Amino acid sequence: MTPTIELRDVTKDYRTHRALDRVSMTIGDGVTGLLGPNGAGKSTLVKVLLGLVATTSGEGKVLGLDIRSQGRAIRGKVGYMPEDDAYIPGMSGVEMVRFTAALNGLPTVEGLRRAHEILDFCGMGQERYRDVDTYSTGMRQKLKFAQAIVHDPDLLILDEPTSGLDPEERVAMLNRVRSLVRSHGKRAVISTHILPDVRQVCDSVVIIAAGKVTLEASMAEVDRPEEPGLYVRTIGPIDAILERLARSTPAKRIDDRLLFLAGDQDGREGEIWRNSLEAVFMNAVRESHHADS
Amino acid sequence: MPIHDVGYRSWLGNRMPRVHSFLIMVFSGIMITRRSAWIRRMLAAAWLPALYIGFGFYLVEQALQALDPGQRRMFVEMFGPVVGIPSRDLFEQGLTTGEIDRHRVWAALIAVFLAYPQSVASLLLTGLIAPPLISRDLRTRAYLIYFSKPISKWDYIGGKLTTVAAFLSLITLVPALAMILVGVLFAPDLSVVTEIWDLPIRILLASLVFIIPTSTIALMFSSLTHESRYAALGWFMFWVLGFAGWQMIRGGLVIGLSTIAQAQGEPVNPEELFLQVGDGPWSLFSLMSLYESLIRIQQWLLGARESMPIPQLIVIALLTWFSLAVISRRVTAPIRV
Repeated sequence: MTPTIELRDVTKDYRTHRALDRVSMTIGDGVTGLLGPNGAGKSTLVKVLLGLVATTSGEGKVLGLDIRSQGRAIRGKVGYMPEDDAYIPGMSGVEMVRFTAALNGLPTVEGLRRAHEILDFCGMGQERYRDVDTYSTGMRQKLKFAQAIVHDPDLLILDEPTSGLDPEERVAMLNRVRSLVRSHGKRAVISTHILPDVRQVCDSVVIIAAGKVTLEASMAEVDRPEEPGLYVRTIGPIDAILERLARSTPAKRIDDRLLFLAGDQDGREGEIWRNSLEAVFMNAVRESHHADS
Repeated sequence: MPIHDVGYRSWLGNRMPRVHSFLIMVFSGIMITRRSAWIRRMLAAAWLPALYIGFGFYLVEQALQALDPGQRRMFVEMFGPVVGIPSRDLFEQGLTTGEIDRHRVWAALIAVFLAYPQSVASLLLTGLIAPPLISRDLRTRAYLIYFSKPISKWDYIGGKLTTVAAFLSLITLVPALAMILVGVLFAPDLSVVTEIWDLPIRILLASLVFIIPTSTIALMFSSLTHESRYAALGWFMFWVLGFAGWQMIRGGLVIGLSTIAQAQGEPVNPEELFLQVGDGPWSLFSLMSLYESLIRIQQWLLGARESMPIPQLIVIALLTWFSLAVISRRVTAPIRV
């Protein structure tokens, strides 16, 4: 099957600043989390993927289409939800979604039907008839999502899709993404700072720092610790237990919990040890800084 | 979940050709713009001069032929100032024979119509329509929505330009063509069509030569700022200052030349001097006024001015090209960083 995204040594320079530095990656099906600190090059990467900015060097394909020469075709197959508060002024919600459907080549009448269908899917009620200038942040997030999927794209590129949403809406938004991927065969790339979102919906992650890809792995690989272990929550003074255990089994204390560094130990409330995504992220970013210095 | 919510469904239809996106841009631009009550009022008001000049067509075609030579002279003397054309020259032949150089008279009427009421109306209407078209998109980051779709920046720019051009056509091209139709209907027979067959083409060219630079320059101002009001201010200042500058220079020259002539004891006719300054070598100063330059080109295209206004054509072409270059750069600037 064609990889969703395939980049080889893609470099993008803005005059003296190198935004992307020989980025290579292969992204397959499912949902991929695109992580990175501010200024890491995520936005530039998204623009490169959409064929909006020309690369300085390197080559790449999105859904099998060349990013340098087939930008328009790529944008026809991709649904992009920008992070920034973006809307077309002077239109109501349904008009805006219908308009974006038409820009994607849907016939006018069909576009209106489709716009209503998608707004229903996105949980937009009668507010769809209000002028978008009057929308709250959460409503605009849903509207941006609706305009990104109205033309039934093969790939979704979602930039901070849950930003500004209340907890309930956040879960609903992630469920929509998951449903599109699991039930309708879509592929998605989510650029976000919210790591719990990544853990909740992503199948793989790519971490970018200082314009370079520092980690590209599946969530299963990210979760797997270097040493297998088991968390055990204890009752009673932890130090005494630790001392006793240390004689027979490697263990260390983390907050109020014990971590056995080998399995098969009795304990209370055992939990398989996973890497924290936060720690993985921090390590990847730190490594890139070390490499730079 | 509402009962009408069918969840997500794939869309399996065929996509429309590329031109559909462009047409949608134009259609949406027009629909949003026409929601403004002020614009609707202005469109209606801008048609009033067409009624007035249209009445001129009626008079030319009906009254002139029905009158005797004495009444005809009186009519011509009244008609000229009322519709603002140099009637003595135009009706020289008609005063004695009742025959008129229909092509010349009609062209003069259309030139007056386009040059004065419609140009001012276009200036005002453009100042209302064009400023928000790009500046609001920049302010609301709508460019992220537009350019993530399969459209190019030229589809976007073309859509915006055509939106302005459509409204300007409604108050220039359409009424001018309507007046020609009215003239034909009032004419004694359909043979007039053979006399004036080229006028619709000239009107089309004269309207385009006005509409394209006007829309492009106004949109350039719109692309330079996130605030529509600054774009509108820039647009009006560009017109007013250029026009006022040229009129001040023209007035100053007339006063200066009159003073010299008076000192030399020569007879002075300020009206003639005013026309001389407007058409002589000093007229190069008129290039500072976009309005004046466009009117001269329009009059030449309609046959109301004999010499081709080459400097004006060059300046307008350069200004239009420069404006397009600025718009093209500005609309994609936020994406390129």
